Amino acid sequence: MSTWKTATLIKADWTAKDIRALRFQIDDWVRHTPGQFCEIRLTAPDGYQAQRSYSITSAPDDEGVYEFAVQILPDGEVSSYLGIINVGEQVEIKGPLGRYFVWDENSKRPAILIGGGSGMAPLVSMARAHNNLLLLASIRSLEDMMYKEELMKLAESHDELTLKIALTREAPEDWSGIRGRISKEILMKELSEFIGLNPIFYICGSNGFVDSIAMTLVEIGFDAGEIRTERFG
Amino acid sequence: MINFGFKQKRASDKRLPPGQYETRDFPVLSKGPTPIVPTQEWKLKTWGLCDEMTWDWDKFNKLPMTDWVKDIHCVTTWSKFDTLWKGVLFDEIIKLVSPEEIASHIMAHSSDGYTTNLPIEDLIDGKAMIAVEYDSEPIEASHGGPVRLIVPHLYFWKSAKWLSGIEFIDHDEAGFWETYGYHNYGDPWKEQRYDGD
Repeated sequence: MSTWKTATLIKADWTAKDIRALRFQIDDWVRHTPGQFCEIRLTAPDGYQAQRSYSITSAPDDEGVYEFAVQILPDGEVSSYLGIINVGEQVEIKGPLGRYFVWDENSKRPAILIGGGSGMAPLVSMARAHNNLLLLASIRSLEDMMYKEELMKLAESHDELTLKIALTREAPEDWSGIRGRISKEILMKELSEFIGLNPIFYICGSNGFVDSIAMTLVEIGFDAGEIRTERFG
Repeated sequence: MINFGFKQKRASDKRLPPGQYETRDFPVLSKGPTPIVPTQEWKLKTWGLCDEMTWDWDKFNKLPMTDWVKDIHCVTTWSKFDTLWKGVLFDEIIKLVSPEEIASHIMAHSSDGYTTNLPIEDLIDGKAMIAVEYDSEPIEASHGGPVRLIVPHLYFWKSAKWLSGIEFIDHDEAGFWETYGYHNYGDPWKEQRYDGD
């Protein structure tokens, strides 16, 4: 777990605008728990190294591989390279890491996942190992949503996974999902059936998003100790 | 392994520990919701192998204060140079609570239940401070205000936010992140990020 392993890129797709899904074959692969992340390290020809953390988006059952959904930032030191890496090329990874913002697939507790933008990444792994989950996604527009088709299909074919999407900036005219930000009223409506069921919350996204959702959940009456947060940048 | 096409974009600096990059932002990371602790409700308690004491905001602000300019290093790879803090040096607390000789470590406690463990060796001789101001202003709640621990020579998860208690103990014991896979000590210069590094 504390050593660097070689990861070979076997598949790359643009899963959303500016978000590239990268699937790596991992040397000495270890099954991960949904919510965990890896460090990805790059080495330049002059020896300069940089590493960043990325959540694993693949399901634990995907043997031998980890998948990551990387938001490609124009001035991102590591992400700009990951935006152009080709199938067959390699990076170094360390992981899986993290034991707190993880969801135990064997847990019988209902889990409520709330993700903003690229913050959906760790929640995708949880949804792919689906079981009694509500996934609330907050994104600017549909083209910004990672794994959109796959998540919609998963939710359609599995009763125990519920997907709700809030489009905060731009929605199609016939949009029947949530329009605008996830407000207190929306949370109260979507979570009413969970009050008293002691759910565990996983909130991931930018700091402002996470703080606002977490504070609202506490206001509604959910226990702060059952709200796990992961803040990106 | 070489990643052709990858090149350095961030400035290098001798002040950067291995694997870190410099940021001008001040990112926020925490395990859960941000606790809101008004100064009139805030208290700091010490207990365990020491004299038990409690300070409220007014009493704590009467203690001798020091200004510090320090580089801080987060395990998530960002470092921030020349951060300005004002607070009480941990040495001052030691003088006041007289820890027993067998006390070797502390467990720092935060208002939200967070904990982190530190050897007392790493808190004395000006190595640590309990801060009440950042950048000449009250510390924002998201950055751990009103009061937080600052231990700049270790990864910043050791600098417990929303400090509410200091427990003096005679052994080392994993705190919150240390239980969840992070390194027990956390020296950025040795890249001690995770358990096993």
